Amino acid sequence: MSNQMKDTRSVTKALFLYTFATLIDWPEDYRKGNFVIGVLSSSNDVYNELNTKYKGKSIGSQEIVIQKFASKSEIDKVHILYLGQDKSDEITSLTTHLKTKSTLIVTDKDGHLSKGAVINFVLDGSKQSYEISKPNAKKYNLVIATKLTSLAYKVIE
Amino acid sequence: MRFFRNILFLGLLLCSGLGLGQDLTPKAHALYQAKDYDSAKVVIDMAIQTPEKYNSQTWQLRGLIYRKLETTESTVNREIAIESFVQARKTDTTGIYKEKINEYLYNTIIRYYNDAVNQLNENKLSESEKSYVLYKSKYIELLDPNKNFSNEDLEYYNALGGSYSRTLVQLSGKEYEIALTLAVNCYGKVLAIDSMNYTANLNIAVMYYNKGADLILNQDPINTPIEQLLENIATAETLFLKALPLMKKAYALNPDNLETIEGLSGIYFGLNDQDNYIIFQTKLDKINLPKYLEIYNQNPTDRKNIEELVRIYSSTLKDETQYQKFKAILDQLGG
Repeated sequence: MSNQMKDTRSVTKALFLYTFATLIDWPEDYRKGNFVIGVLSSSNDVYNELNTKYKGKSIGSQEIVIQKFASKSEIDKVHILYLGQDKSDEITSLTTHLKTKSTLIVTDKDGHLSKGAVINFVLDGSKQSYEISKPNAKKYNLVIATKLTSLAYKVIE
Repeated sequence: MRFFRNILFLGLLLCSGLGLGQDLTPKAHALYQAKDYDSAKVVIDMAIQTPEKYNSQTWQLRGLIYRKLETTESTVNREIAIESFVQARKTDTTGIYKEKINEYLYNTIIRYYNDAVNQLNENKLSESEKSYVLYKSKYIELLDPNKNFSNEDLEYYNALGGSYSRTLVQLSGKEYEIALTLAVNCYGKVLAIDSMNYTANLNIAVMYYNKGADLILNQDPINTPIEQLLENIATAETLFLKALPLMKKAYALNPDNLETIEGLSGIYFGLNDQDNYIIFQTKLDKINLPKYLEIYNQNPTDRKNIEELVRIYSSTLKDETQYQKFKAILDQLGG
């Protein structure tokens, strides 16, 4: 999007990502150190928004760190990974790469829950919303608050 | 019977002649010409207590004197001037002064319109509208009950709506809502007269769009519960959907105007309508590209400008060579 335009989409997505962080429980070994939100995308919009508004804030006692990755090989211990639309094709290899981790993979492409994402951004009409895969969350040892599932556009049980 | 009527007429003439014999109106006129309006006022007010009150010219002169005594703080003397001209018209039984008196009235009533314009320029917006409404009501009551104000209304309410909308950037909360409603009401009046009015369609659309977009952008990043976030998204969608048909109409009326293309691009972006967003963003980029290239030539380290060029060449006006060139420049600039 152009510099002049009001970027309502990135603000919304970044706020959703932060909200997900507050409504999901990670396993014990992820509750220490920094809380890492990673972005794998060639676009800087969501990354910039996260970096501007959430870097240095905290989730519980963990300080939020925002990281942008050029490729999946750079990704290690990340609490949330936002996979931008332009990198959607990497979902399969990404889930393989992260299969032993407890990373909340958030995608932005139709049908990506079936490809391993835990949360996928979808449109409810023209409104930004999200859908959740409970089985995928379980795979990554993530516990999703009822509030988050009850407000989701769709939940796969 | 006719005899009695003639005697009565003669008596009136005598009385009238006696009154004129006091010469108060000529005295007041002399003072008026000498620009001693305060003294002229005292004398003319005495004159209307005498049989000179049957003389239309006395009332005309009173109107002129009071009009001269008008102050910027109060329109009381203007009101008295108008009442005097009305009285002058009543006493002008033969109608010989009708045209002149109507000109006096018009020149006095138009001052309410001038007030409205001045108050608009001074940002006294509610006072301005009161003056404008008063101008119209006086005009209809005293000059022409069939006067059509459509053109004046279009011009005035577009200007007033513009003034209210310009205040929005400085306002928040309830004050913002009030100013927004007033601005929308002004443009609504314009659209009621002319549904194809470009300015009104464009500006209402811009206000709805900005309200929706600002609702999203101004959310507290940390303390917005998810329920509130979803509610804000829904409210913004409603506003974008209200803006869309108006902006489309403005675009149909003026398809080459940058504002309408920008507006539709922004609204479709807000509505997550990617296909239509790309259509209008492409139009916008085609128009803006020469400007960005010119900026680059003048300032090759303007990072934001190079970011725009990278975005354009990689998305709307795809050009791999240009994209690679500006991407490399951007990477070199770092940051």
